[in-house]
Amino acid sequence: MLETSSTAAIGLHGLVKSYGETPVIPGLDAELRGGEFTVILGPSGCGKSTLLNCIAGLERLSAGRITIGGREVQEEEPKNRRLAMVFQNYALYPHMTVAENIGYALKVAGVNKTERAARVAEAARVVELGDYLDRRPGQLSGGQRQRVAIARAVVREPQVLLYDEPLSNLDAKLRHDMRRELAELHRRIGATSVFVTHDQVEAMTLADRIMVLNKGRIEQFDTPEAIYHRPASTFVAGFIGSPAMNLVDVTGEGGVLRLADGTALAAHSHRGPAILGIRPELVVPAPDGLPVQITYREELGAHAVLTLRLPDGTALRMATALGQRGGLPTDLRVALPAAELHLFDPLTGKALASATPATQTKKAQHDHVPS
Amino acid sequence: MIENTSSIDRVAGAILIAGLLFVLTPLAFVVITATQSYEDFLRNNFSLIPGSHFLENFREVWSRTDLPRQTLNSIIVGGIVATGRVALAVTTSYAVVFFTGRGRGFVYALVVASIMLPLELMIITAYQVTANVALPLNVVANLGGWWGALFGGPLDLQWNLLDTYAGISIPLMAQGSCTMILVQFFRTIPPQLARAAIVDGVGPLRFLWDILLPLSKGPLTALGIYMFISAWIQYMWPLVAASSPARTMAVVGLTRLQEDGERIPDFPLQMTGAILVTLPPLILIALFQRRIVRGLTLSEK
Repeated sequence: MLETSSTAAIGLHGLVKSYGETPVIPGLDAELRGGEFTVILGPSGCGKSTLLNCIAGLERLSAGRITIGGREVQEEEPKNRRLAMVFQNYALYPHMTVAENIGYALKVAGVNKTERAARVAEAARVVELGDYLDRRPGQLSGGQRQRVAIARAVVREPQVLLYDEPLSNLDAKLRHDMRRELAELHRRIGATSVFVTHDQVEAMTLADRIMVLNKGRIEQFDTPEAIYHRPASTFVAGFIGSPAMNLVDVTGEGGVLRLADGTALAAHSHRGPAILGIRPELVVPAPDGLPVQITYREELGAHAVLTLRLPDGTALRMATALGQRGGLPTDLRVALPAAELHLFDPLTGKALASATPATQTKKAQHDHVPS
Repeated sequence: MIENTSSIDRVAGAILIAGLLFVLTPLAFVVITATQSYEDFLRNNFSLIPGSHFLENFREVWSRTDLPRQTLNSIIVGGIVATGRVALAVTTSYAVVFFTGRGRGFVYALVVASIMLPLELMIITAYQVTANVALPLNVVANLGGWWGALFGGPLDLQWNLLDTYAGISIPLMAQGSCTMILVQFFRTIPPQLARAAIVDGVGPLRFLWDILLPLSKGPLTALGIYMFISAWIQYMWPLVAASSPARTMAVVGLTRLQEDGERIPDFPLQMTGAILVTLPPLILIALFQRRIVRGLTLSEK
């Protein structure tokens, strides 16, 4: 019954939202494909919740158009947009039982009692809510409340499901479980989903495509794989990945990228100033590499994160290989494999097209730099 | 607390007992006096030995004075004022907290400012308007004589509300403290609740009725009782607005129990009347005590 096959794409065309003089979203175009799970990711204040509220119809646009399933909806009431929303603090009605909470939208819409009961039971089954229909939200745990909130959304058989940071009030273990369940739920009901979060792990694990927002602009809108391996800007590079990608100012000349003091860092054909990016896990020890000093060591169990100091004082993070135990030599030398380097424009922060590394090279090829 | 607090407990207990004595001694005096006959009282003046005439006194208050009727008046006016104040507070607070409209801050400021303007300050104007509700209309219509010029005579509508329940109650309703308290409560309700309701397709009135009012049951009950009691103890305005004994409120009626000033006042009778007048609010508080305390903390789960 809830298995909706009609999936609706969401189109955002020249979307502008400002509060008074300050534009929160200065103009945004994107196409969210039907049935896809899109995660809107960004730091707080980047406009991601505003964007979601605009799609939901809770905020009026300052300019632009929104289409859902090809239909323009920016002037429609939220209830006519065929969407449902899950809120961060669940937003359950505290005085109603679980069943009443789930069925309230149907009641408002005038669905008769028998059909309502059947659909509530079906929605509760879909989210595996169990025997809690007669309880009140106050008697449920955080995870159960979240399920009720999701059931309340899916019971209306929406074309679009909107999630506003729905997992951030849960503890770490529960968040992990709910993440898996949300992914399964999405597979089952297939509605176009838009999920707002500031948590990159949620974004990476749930998304078909991630929209990285910064100050109301799209930095990159691509698959998790591409976002991680081909960041379009220093913002994306620094935001995704934990620990974050190293970003070092370099100058390229004669096939070598050098630090400000002239130390050769890596081999690359780029000429002129650039920002070099490399993931900490791709910095590798090499007997003939750069001599570095270990200034800080974070032990994470499966691996360790080291903060290194390069000869000129620049800090560089390095993650040791998974499962590797024991100390590293005190006279550590490291190399930055040329295939794993990202280069960004020092002025705009955008990725330099020529410098995109080959994505297939997961294992570092040890192209060492003559030092 | 983990530390030894027995000395603090003792001091606190002593302060509490002192406070209780301070509050209860006059009440005990009232009760004792109410049990004495007028003759006893004339002979012994005030005495601390209880008499046995309470039932006779009560019967006299009940059958020979206007006080029972006036107590009913107080219940009616208290009920109207409490309902009116709470209803106005609900609509005002709903508008102030859940809607973004121009000037709502200004409106709220005006409402709160009305707390600093008690009815006693405006009593002459209030009396004039209650004596003729159409008075403001007349004044505006006759400004510069334009009504007279158009219709050949000044507008002179008359609508007297003095000595009616409406005339006593409505001016007492216009008071902002209720709104202020309710605004604070509404602000503790997560705004996402309203957003969820909007997505669920709920209109503003239905949200108020289905969600906001059920959630505010506790605070609303507490507020209603406060407002009932604060109307109950009003003196100045009911004294002015109701002239006939049949419309006077109980607290005013109490002071009129002995008005001839010739003989020594019948204090036992007055004290019995005071007990009668105190009973309804006392019963109300006793019945709803827990709700009042819970409503005060403004936490509704």
